[in-house]
Amino acid sequence: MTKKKKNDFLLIGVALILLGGLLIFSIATRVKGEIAYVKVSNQAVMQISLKDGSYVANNPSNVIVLTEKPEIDGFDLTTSSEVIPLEFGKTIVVYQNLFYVRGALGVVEIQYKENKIRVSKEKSPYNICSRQGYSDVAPIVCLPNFVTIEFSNDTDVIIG
Amino acid sequence: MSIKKLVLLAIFTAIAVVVNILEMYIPIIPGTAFKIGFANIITLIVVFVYSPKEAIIVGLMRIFVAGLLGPSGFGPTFMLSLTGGVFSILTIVIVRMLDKFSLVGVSVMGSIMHVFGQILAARFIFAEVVTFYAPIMLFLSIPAGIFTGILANKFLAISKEWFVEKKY
Repeated sequence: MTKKKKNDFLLIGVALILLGGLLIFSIATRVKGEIAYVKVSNQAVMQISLKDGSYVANNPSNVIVLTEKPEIDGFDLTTSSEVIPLEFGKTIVVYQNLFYVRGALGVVEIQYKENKIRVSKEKSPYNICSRQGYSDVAPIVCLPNFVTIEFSNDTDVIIG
Repeated sequence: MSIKKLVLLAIFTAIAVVVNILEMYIPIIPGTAFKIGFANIITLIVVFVYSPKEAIIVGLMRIFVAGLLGPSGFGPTFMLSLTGGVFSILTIVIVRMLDKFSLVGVSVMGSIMHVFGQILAARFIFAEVVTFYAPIMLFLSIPAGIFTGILANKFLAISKEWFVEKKY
């Protein structure tokens, strides 16, 4: 074996031990969240309790509660009677267990179901966050939309 | 620069752009943005066949042209791609110049630094929450780097004569 190949094995060994250790540590210290924080542009807009799906909005005056399921139309939501424009980082539309916020590329639909949260609809080039599915530990990151959902069990966190 | 070298570098850049764009549509782990980094094979080949200068040009061209032609355009994901790419290309070039590791070692270093650069960019441009994924992404970058390194090695073994400058 040449000197360089030995160095390669040494490098890979050290990297595996260091980064493997980091990985094990990070998994061991993970905590299951009880509250999901929905953030737009890194600012919390609402929190959803994973226990029962109840929500608290950062600013209650920005919440619109609907009684019929809206359809997503680009940056707006439409119902049979009206068109609801959403304001980026502000408006939250709620229909039963579905929550709608405006992302950078379109409306993001967040669904609560059985103590978990997922992004059920969004517009992005690769749809990574909606493909991720339900989560209660790993944060959901909709990068092109600037929307993230983080989980925490710290009930005293003041959002804003 | 000879015409042959110019043409080869142009072809390499074109291949890297196509691979870079196609890769995003083939999820290795569904629901994640994790990818092997096949486009980096080209940077590795160029730095080993030619020199750091050519590798930096081809690598950066690849990132910008892929950003221009890819579905994300120059959005926030482009900034991550660029930061990760610059970290990885510079690492590959520096480690290559140190001349202490073979191609696989250089590839692993580049792969780890690519993830490091991306996470760093995402952390500051986007949100702190992305650091949740740092340990798993960094760990997975090791096998990804080994894999691309072996592939680049295999390619170099069968293509040595392409790069010979013949005198006619």
